[in-house]
Amino acid sequence: MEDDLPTEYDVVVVGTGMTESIVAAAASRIGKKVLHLDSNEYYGGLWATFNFDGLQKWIEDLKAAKSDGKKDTIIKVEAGENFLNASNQYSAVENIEETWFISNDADLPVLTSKDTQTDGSGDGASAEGSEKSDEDKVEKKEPVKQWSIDRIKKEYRRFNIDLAPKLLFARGELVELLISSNIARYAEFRAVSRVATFMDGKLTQVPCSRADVFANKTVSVIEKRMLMQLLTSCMEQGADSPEFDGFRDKTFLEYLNTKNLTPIVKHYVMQAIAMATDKTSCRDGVNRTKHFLNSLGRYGNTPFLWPMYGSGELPQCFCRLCAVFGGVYCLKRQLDGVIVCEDKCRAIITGKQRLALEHLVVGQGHVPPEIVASVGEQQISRGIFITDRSIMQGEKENLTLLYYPPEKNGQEPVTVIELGPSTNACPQGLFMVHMTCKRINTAKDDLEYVVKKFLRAEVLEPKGPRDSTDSHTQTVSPDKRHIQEGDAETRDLIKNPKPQVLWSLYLNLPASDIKLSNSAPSNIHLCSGPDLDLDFDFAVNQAKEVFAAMYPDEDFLPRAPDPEEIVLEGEEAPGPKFEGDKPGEGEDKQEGEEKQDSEKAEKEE
Amino acid sequence: MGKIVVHGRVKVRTTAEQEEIKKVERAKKVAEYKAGMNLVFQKRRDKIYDDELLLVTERIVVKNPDIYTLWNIRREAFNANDWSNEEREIRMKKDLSLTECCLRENPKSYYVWHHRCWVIERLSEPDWETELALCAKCLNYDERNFHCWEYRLFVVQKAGISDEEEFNFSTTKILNNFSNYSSWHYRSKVLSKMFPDNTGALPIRSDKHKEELDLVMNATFTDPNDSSAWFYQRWLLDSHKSINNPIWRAQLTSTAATVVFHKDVAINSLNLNILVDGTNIPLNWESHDNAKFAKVWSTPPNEIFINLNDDMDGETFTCKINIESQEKHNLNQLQEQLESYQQLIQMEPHNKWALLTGIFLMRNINDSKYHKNILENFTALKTIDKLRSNYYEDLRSKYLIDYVLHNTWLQEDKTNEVTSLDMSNYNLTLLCNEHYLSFYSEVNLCGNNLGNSLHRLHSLQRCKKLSLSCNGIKSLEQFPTLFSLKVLLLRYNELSSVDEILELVKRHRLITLDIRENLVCMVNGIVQAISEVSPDTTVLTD
Repeated sequence: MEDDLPTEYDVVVVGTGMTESIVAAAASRIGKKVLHLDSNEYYGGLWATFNFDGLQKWIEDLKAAKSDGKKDTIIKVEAGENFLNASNQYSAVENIEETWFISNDADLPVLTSKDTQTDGSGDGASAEGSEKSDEDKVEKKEPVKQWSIDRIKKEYRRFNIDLAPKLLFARGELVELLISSNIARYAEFRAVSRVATFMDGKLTQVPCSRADVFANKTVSVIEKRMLMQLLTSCMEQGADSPEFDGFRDKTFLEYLNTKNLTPIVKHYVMQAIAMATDKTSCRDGVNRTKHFLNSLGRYGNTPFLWPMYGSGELPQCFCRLCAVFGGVYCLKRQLDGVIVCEDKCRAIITGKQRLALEHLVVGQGHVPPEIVASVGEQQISRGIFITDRSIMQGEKENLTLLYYPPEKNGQEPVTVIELGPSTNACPQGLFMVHMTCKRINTAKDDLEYVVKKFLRAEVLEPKGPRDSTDSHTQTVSPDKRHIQEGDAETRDLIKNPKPQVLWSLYLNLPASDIKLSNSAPSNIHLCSGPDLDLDFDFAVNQAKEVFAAMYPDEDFLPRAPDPEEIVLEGEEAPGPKFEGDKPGEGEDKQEGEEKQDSEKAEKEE
Repeated sequence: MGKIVVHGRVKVRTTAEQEEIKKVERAKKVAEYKAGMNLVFQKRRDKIYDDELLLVTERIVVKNPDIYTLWNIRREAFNANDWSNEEREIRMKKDLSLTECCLRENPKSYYVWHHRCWVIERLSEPDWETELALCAKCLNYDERNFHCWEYRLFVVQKAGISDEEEFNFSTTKILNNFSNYSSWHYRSKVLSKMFPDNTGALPIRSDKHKEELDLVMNATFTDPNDSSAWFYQRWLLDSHKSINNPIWRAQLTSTAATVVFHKDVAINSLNLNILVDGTNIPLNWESHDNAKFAKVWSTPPNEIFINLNDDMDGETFTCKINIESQEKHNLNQLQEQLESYQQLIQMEPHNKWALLTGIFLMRNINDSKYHKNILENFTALKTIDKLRSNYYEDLRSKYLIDYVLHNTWLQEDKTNEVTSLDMSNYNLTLLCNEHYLSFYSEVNLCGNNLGNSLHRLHSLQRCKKLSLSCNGIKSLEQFPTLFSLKVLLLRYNELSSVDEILELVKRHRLITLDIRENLVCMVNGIVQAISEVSPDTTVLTD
């Protein structure tokens, strides 16, 4: 494994997180000699996406690593040089708690049913044909398999589980970058199909596009106008407009209160569109609303895109471009430490090799502690749940975003993303729910109030056949203990029981806002881990800053050439086609939709 | 130092290199095109409609679908060749694929859609399902492509798709994006077919009308600046007067007969007769300017002599047909909508569409009750939408005339008096529905702005006294000849041409002509000149 690498580089990048990968691609793109290392055997670091097996292994490795004693390497250095050991203390994942709510096969009763669960077992029910395959499966009179631990483990490949799930605003930094750099060709997306909000005791879909507002039947025409008017003024005028003059030091809520809005309209704007709390400033609220609206109408019914196969795909897209332009990749290769002389980093030590460099770009999981000024406070609480139905039943499979504001003091707002099988996050019949919030206590404590609200996280007794009334999803007999309040919510619960959690994982990710000390060598550039925001803007902007610090006069990721514009050195014929090149003409619209759209958008620019 | 190459290291072609490649390609394309076109035209002259011709035209139209001559030549070739049925069918189907390729290049080419129509109609077993699918695909890319909408209509008729399905289709399209003239228009067509209103008062059946009004109101509140929804709404709200009897009034004097209709009709002696005491009087009907369709038909003056009975009040006999007051539909809903739109106007005082719709709604509910409000809306419209102020002025004039006529008729019904009409001081800019003015002997139009509507006065053939004072009239060139006219008041206008006045006097037998406060009065000897032409006329000048 310890191949000999070339020993001199313009840029060495350590870690394959989002920021690191963008910087690596940008440096390689302008002709710099780039070495990109990762100590793991997978890409992405804490931004990674795993299949079920990979995730299990990741958890085991973390547990094993904790017991490992830290062994500092001792390196001979030249006069005037200092050796600093790399440390993984800033990528420490804590409070990992994995729970199964279902049994092993052996404990399950055998049952048969004609028309029960949707079942995507084993043989390739492809993601795209989800609805079709649902019908197909109903026809078959096979013994119905319940989900068991064994079965989930057996189908591990059909899961894509994100450590740091993030959405892309259709006009956010990352989408623009993917298009302008021509990296979009490596990625595929699915549009988030609905933005949900919790209102009057139940989840409802927020009308966010013009078509949604038009078709909505819950709000009156006057409310429709209020909503559209408010949205238009945020969108067109922006936070600096005189409209918001009186609210410079006030909250967004205070501004909305002056607008004579009905409660529904106010709720939509606050909780779903601006995703604001009572404390959000007017300026932030307006800007967030504007950001949301700017991104509407580009690709789908909502402003958001979700990367197919998970967020972890995206760093890899940038790595691929880096490699196309000559970047050298080496996984399972650890950074042992850095050699510093005066205020410059001269080289790194890795696998007994000393590699000279001009710039060192390093993910926060590998930074020597000596150069860190502050460890940051923005830690993240994460919850990942495999469930048996959607939190909000719909006619078709949905990809849902829900922002849930704190119920009381001491809670943080939680972002919920629910993925269905068509994103390849999980097999047919299951859903993957991601919850993210700022850490206060442990992930489990922080998220508990939201889990209780929307999921049934109790062990499922392996008893007889479960009720199955809904042909679209698997059903769990409504547990009477949940629903003894006897109100509208109860009736709703009987009709639409909460999703049963089959498996859950809680974890705390490290803070993303660590800072280097002023005395740190000026050619060491820090890249943060996943942050709390919904999108990737933070990483993209950080990558831009790092690149500008390294090469202030160079273009940041100019458009990569199309295959026909590329000649391999020494060849005259056009180079090989890029991977993930244009989908064929006859291809099903559903399949290549986002991609074609983004290509169309490219042409328009 | 060894070099690890992961993927082949790339070199990007420079812009100059790319330009050069493009230039060469372009020159090649132009040469091919020219050679191809020459060949095609030569073959056409020689009437050689062979496979080569088809192949070459195909190659060119794929790149240039808008050269319609090539499509014509292809059709000529299809007609000229004596292929077997099977072969013709195969070739036709190939042309279907060809048009599909071309539509991918340019989905808005008239000629390609036309050619597709031509081909599909000649297939023995056209696959309409495929055609529908093609339309669906095309409308997914651009739901406002009216070419495709039109082709779709053709396919739907051929395929026998039910109106209901089509109605649902239009609903889907509108829900997806209501800013779409084509789908609203299509909806209006399908609805009129599915749910016609038997009373004739509404464009569609009352219950559907109600639903549609609500739907479109949702659209207008979602985006009040999108005109397509407002247009559809206007179709719903436009008055659809059902008039069973087209005749409004008829008048007989001892020497003339005149009949006025509500709408333009064509008349000959066969379908309009006058019976006096059971005897059919043979008449020769004429319209103004000998128009084939007209609202006013009369006999040439002094052509007939009718013995009017003494009990018929001597001079004239007028026959009036009362207009049945129409039943109002969905009044509650209209009232609610009006309230909503008034709120919208308050929220967005600069929205012209809301103001205009307010006017339509008020007219639909009760013209007289809202008379003042309607005028207020017009005033507001003129200030917020200056570009169209003339349009609003004319529309206002139209509604005002309707209003005045309506009130006058009510009065007439009470008193049975049909002599004078007062439409003074309304600032009318346009005279319309002038046929309803046919029987008045005294018409007061002073204090308006009808300088541009003089030609429309031709229906005032029974008018003896006409006031057009204060109308900003600059020229009398368009003034028609009015046989009965005796007194003409033209005070306070901007007349400056002596010749025009003399010409007017010549055509009439005026007793009084008032041209005070006009520029023309400054001309010396004007009175003299007029009296030379018409000694009996009293001329009032400054």
